[in-house]
Amino acid sequence: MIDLALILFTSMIAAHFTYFLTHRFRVPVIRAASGLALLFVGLGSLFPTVLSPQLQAVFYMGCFVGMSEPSRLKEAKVILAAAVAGGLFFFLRSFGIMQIKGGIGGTLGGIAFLSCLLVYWAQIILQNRTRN
Amino acid sequence: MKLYLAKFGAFYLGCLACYLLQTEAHFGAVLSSALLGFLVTFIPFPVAIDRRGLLIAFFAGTFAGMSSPEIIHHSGHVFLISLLGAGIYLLLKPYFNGFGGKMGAIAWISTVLFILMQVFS
Repeated sequence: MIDLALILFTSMIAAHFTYFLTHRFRVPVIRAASGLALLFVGLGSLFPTVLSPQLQAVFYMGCFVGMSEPSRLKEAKVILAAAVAGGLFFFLRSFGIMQIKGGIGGTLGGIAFLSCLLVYWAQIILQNRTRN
Repeated sequence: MKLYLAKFGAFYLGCLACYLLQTEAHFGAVLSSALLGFLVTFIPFPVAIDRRGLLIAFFAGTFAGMSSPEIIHHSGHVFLISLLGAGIYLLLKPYFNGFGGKMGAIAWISTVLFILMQVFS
């Protein structure tokens, strides 16, 4: 349970920081996401027992969610999408899907994309319902 | 065609560099991709070149390059994945715009297509 909470928290923090750097401080989106991930990996080498490589992957995935444009997802929705991504990561990892063929490139981004899409669709469905 | 070649070149460079950092320098997948993504944003481009488009293709390439050596055995595989990746990027970019993780999704689709091609060939 703590494992899931840690994954969700890490993913949400990463998304929030990336979104914040990109839209408040106008840092180029790729620089913001990769720079934050580098920082986290650096911290991981200082505290390897707490910030495991798996948590580093979760952080990187959260950064991808935070790369969303405000025209698609606003800040709160981005953080929600990061939580969804964290949940999906936990679920896929539990069933060993993350390790198919040793790890398929783009899986983290794919999970991030799917989470953003799910939150975006949910937002549209809710908006349509309140209108009708 | 020119646009495809430019995206292919950027995707290929990103994928190959990430793959080499993982296999030759024994960097972790996240470190390899993040380091390349961070460094490439500081490279100056001539004004006439679509800088953002190339950076996105390069960054997407690094995600594909995060694949395990079980999937990518040599640089020929990187070439094939990049051929697929550049095409998928140009095809899906308008629909994926604005969503976080779009580059990773493109990399994932191209890698899975590559695996399927290997399985069925």
